[in-house]
Formats: sequence, structure tokens, C-alpha cells
Amino acid sequence: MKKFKDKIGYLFISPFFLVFLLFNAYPIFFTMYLSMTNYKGYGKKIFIGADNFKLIFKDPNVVDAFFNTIKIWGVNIFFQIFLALLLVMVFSDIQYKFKGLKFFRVIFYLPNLIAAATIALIFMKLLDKDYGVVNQVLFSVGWIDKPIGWLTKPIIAQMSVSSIQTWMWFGNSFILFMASVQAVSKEIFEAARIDGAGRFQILKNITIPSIKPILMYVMITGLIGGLQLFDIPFLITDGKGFPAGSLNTMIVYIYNMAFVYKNYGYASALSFALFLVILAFTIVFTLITNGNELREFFNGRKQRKARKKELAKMEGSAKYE
Amino acid sequence: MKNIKRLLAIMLAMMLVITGCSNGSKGTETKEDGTTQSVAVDSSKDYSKEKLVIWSFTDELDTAGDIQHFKDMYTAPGKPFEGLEVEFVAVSIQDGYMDKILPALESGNGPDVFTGELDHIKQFIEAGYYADIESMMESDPDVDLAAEKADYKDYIWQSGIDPATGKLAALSWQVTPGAIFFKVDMAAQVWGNEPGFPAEGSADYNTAVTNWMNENKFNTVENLLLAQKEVKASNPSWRLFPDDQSVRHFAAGTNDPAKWIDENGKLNPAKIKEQIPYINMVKEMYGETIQDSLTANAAEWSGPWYDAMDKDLTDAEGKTWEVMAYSMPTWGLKYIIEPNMEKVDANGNTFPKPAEDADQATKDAYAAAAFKGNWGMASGPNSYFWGGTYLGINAESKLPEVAFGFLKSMLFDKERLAERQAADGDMYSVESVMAPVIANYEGRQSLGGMNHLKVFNEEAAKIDLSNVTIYDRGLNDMLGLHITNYKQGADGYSSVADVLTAFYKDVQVTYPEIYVEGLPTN
Repeated sequence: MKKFKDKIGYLFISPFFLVFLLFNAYPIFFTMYLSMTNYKGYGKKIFIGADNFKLIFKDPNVVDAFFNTIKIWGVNIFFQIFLALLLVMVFSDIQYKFKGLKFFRVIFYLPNLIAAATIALIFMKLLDKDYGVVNQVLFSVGWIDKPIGWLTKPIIAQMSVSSIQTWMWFGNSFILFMASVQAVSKEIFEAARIDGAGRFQILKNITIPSIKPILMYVMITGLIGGLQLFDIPFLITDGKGFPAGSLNTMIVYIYNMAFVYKNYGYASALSFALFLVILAFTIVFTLITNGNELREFFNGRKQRKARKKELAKMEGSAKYE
Repeated sequence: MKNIKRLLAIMLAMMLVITGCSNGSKGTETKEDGTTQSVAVDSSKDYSKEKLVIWSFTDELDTAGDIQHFKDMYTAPGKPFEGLEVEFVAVSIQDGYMDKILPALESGNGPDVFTGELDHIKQFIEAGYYADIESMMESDPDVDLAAEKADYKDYIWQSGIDPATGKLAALSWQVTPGAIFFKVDMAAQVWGNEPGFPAEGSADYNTAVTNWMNENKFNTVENLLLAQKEVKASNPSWRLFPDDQSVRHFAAGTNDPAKWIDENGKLNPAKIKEQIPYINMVKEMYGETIQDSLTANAAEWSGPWYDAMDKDLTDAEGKTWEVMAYSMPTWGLKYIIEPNMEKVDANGNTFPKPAEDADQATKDAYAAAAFKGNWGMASGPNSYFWGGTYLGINAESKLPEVAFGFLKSMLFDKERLAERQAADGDMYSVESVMAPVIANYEGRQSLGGMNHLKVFNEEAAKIDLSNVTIYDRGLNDMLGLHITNYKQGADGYSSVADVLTAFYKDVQVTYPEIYVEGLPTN
């Protein structure tokens, strides 16, 4: 009966594993299999070994697409977190006593609820060099005498997309950070203020440490999402990655390789390589940010093992006695 | 094993159609004129429990009544496939039609009948997904294969042939040749003083202007470029085209274009050389600002692109621009240009397009109003096509006799096709349907009474698609990316040689099997 009770737990966790195996593990392994074929999306899958992986090192577009992704993501995540923290600082400041947090939460989160296709369409109209509203306004106030190519100059286009991403996601980060800060007792902030701590001291010593786990969560999910940046660059450039390939992110490149150029084999190799890169980034990131926790975990494990060994030794010697 | 299964399925389909099966029979359905058509019926099947699945990348088969027509002819009470369910699935290309249908076909659970554009059907045929419909036609007593072959446009017939078997695998009832639609009144202001330009008010004025344009301005890639400069010189706020995508159809510049892939299965140097004048033209057309550009910098399918059809464009700086011409195929006239053409009231004054929240009476009055009739339709430096829907039967369909019945109801029922053509006014690939229509056509009011069907028919006759390969769309897209980089002056793109070198690097990665050393760079 006890054994059955022990095993019934597996039954409860099995749905997750079934879904995981079907929708996560299987696609990963199938992608790995496809990456070793010259599959075109139809017809035979001829095994070609590691040829597609060798091709990655010869393909100049891969490096460009990777750095485009990093650049767009890097700027986005910096401003996304900066803006969210700034707002957290303002809304959690006991002196300001800001009203209407719920209202602002909704307002800030709103861009996240709009479909990417709609956002892309809106910004394409706003940022159009020749007919866009933004340039129209800048002309009318006399700030420019030549239209700015928001989406036609490589660096500006990358920054435009980063800004759109920031606008879409800062509200999400703000809500997560704010929830964390609200869990901290107000008295701590009040005590710090009475002791003469400034705003940045409070941010550095109270706010950030209190939201550290959430901050890590936002950074890691932001990294994973950022390296898979696709929708906005794809929709804004109709999948072409213009200008000068500056919006050709890794996933846009992989998508085009598979679904436009019909080279599923190579696209799968690129996907698998990207999976490994994301995995490596995530591990490194986790090690850096959670070093203490990991050290504690491994030390604890070591101690438990040693204790177990000690106990076994004692039990053994007791037997012989 | 899969091939054996496929072969067995084809053989089974053939047997069903050829013999009607040993346990089968011929069903008949009566047409409106009282004549009957027979179809192979497998009497071992209870059709009321079967389902014919049809996939298409547009909803046209449904909205044009083709599905209903098939049901009326074959599945209604008393008809050969009585009670059979028909499931129609429409997935647009933007929503990933190919990404959805390819895995379905690969898994053996694909639809019984499915459509595709030309480059799609090339992939379907290469993968062996389409059944041999030529043999089915041959064995059907109601279908005269030789007569059908003669009746269909040759390029449509040839493009649906499976090179592995030499048999027909897909067929289209449409032809979609393209043209340059232009505003005749603007052309008259630019070139009206040139020798031979027709006098305003002369008979068949739009047709006469079109003929003059065909002979003098749009006949070569060089003249097309010159025409753009002349428009700009004539009026600095006028542009011939909205953007450079309008000239992409004329990249070959000839009606006898080289193939992308040569006889050795490698990238064809002749095709590369053919693209160079086009690359130079695009570079010359581009300008950082509209003032510097030969186009209005209104990207294809963008708001300003549509707006310029019937009104002046106002840019961010407040300057206004007017566009003269658009490159569009058959369907573009009806669905894209005409809905945006200028209309006039009974006094000849412009009838402004009603706002979306306008009352119904205003909307009805606008819909009934006449077009200004100031557009012409010319040929470009070369004939081209854009779009078109082909039909074929899944080689692994378990209902090949029903699927063929659907094809018969759509492709070989000429009365129905004639009715359909009368309803939609499109260009069809069937001579017996189009010849009387073209002969009796009164002309398109929007084009000042031009017989545009005759022009399209002539253009369609010049198209040769026998050389189209599965690589064409990918290679054109890939080269297009580098041409854009070149025209925008991206780093590393200072000459045509840079464009081609970058293009070859991409080909090496994407299609290594067709790459060959020693390709031209100028």
C-alpha cells in the first residue's frame, strides 16, 4: 500500500512529462535529425551527416544575423529594465505616494496585449521615411529638413526595433518588479528613509535585492526571447531583414531558410545551433547570477553525502560489534 | 515502401477510373441541357460515409460557387456520390498554406484535391504528390483528351506536366498575364506633343494611346527607364511608377528568357547576364528622397501605394506627388486598381469615394457611378504572369474517382466555365470559353472601352513557362535582397559585381547543389 502511494505521485506528474516529450523533446530531436539531412520540406530526406553544421561556419549571414539579434536585444533589455526600475522607484517611493498604481499597471501593460502584427503595421505607418507621421511631425515643428530613415538606415532601424520591443515589454517587467517590491514591508523603506538613505541607496540596497529573483527571471526569459526575436523585424520588413540585412535576426534567417528557400535541413541545423547557444548563455547566466545559491546547494549536497557515508560507516561498525 | 504505396495508390486510382472497378458501375448525372455525364462509381463504397477534402490558398472555390456546383452535380440526392460530404479548407499563402499542406501530404493525410500557384505545383509534382490526371482524362468517356489539350492555353498545359512521367498532373482554368496599367491623361500631358501620339478625342483613344506607348515607351528596359526620366522632367511632382517593385516583372526584358538552371542542373551564367540591365535600372530609379528618386517611394501594398491610384500623395514634408502607372496582372485590374480608380458623376465631375460610415444611399450611388475611364493597359518589355490557381488530385487519395469528378466539374464542364467567366469577368485559359467572350466584348469602361481581354489573351500567348524551376522564386528573392542593398548604398555594395558576389555566396549556402565556380560578375 505504501509502495502504491509512493508511486501514485508519478501519475500526477506524468501529464507534464507527456506534454513535454510530445511538444518539446520530440521537436528538438526531430530538428536534430532533420539537420543531418538535405530535406526540402517535401520528398526524400537524404542523410548527409554533419554537412549542414559545417556550412554554418562558412555562412557569413549567420554571424551577421547573430550580432544583429544581440544588438537589438541588448539595447532593448537595457532600456526595458532601466525603464521598469525607474518606474518601480517612482511608484514605490513612500514620499511621492503615487495614486492609481492599478491604472498605470494597465496602461503600461497595454502594448503587451496588442498583437505583434498590429504593432508592426502601426509602426510601419508611423516610421515610414517618406509618408510617416513621425517625420511629418518633425518637419512641421522644423526639427528636420530631410526625412529620417527610421526603417531604412541600418543602425537607426535596429534602434527603432529595439525601442518598439522596449515599449512592448517594459510594462511586463514593471508589473513583475512591482509585485516583488510590494512584498517587502513598507517599514523597511520608512526606516531607511528615517536613517537618511537617498533614493538610489534605497534602490541599490533594498529594492534591487528584494526583486533579485524576479530580475534574474526577467533577464533569463528576456535573453531566451531576445535570441528568438522574430515577429517585429519580420513583419516590418516583410521577412526581408532590410535595410542592409540589419533586421535579419537569427530566427528571421532560419524562417526564410526553411519556408522561403526550402532548405529545411540547413534551417534545422541553424535552429539546433541556436538552441545550443541559448542553452550555453542560460547556463553561464545562471552561474553568474546564482553563484552563491549554487555553491550553497553543492556544499549542502556534499555535506549530506558525507553524512550519509559517515552513517553507513557507523552502521557497518555497529553490525560487526 | 512509400513509393510502392504511392504507386499502388495511383494504380488503384487508375483502375477505378479506367474500369469503374469490377464491383463498380458508371453513375450518371444529368446536366441542365438534358445531356448526361458518366462518372466512375465504386459500388463497394458507401459515399454517404465518405468525405472529399479540398484545400486551397484562396476561398475562391467556395465563393465562386464551385463547391456548390460539384455538390449539385454529384452529391445531391439521386446523384452518383449521393450523401458524400465535401470539406473545403482555405488557408492563405500569408497564413502558411505551403507550411501546412506539405506536412499533411508528407504524412499521407493530405487533402484529396488541392490547389497551388505555379511554383507550388512544381514542388508538388517533384515530390510526387499529384496524381496523373492525364490518364484519368484518357479513360473517361466524357473527356476528349486531345480536344482539351488543344482548348487549354499551351503554357498552362505545359506547366502542369510531370517531367518524370510526361503526363499532366495539374491544370488551371485561369491565365494571369500582366500588363502596365497607366493613366492616359497623364501620358498625354507628358508625351502628347511627340510625333504620332494620338489626338485627344479620336476613336478608341485609350487603345490608340496604349499602342503608342507599347511601341515607343514600354517596349524595352532602356525605354522604360527613359520614360520614367521623361515623366519626372515633364512635371517634377509626377512619377511613372509608385516604386521599383513595379519593374521587377521586366527583369528578363525579353519574351525568350534564359533559365535560372542550365542543362547541367547548375546556375545559368546567361540568366545572370540577363539580370544586369535590370539591376542597373533599379539602382538608377532609387533615390534617398522622393525628389531624388524616379519613383514615388510608395512601397507595394502600402497605404500610399493604393492612394496614388486616384489621388495625389502628400509626403511627410507636405509636398504632393502623382503616380502614372502600375504593373498588375489580370486579377489586379478587377480587385486592386478598379476599386481605387477615380469615378465621375453624370456631369463628369469627380465622385469622391464615400467614407466608411457614409449612408448606404451614397455608397450605392458611388458603386453605380461610372469610372472616369482615363486608364490604358499596355504591355511591358516582356510578357509576364503573376498568380493563377492550379488544381490537382492527391496521388494517395482514397477517393480518386470523386476527386476526378470535382476536376471534371471545374475544368472540363465548359458551360459552367462560361457561366463562371461571365460572372467574374476574369481571363480563362480555355479557348472555347474565351474566344466568343473576346469577340463579343464591348470593352472595359474603366479603360475607356478597351478590349483588355484581347490584350491579355495576346500576352498569354507569348508566355513560356516550360523553363520555370523550383528554384526560381528563391533565387529571385535572394537576388532581390542584394539589389536592394546595392540601391540603398549598403556597406560593401558599390557595384553590380558586389551584388553578384554576395548573391553567389548565398547560393553556395542555400542551394549548394546548383552552385558552380566561374559565374560572371559583370
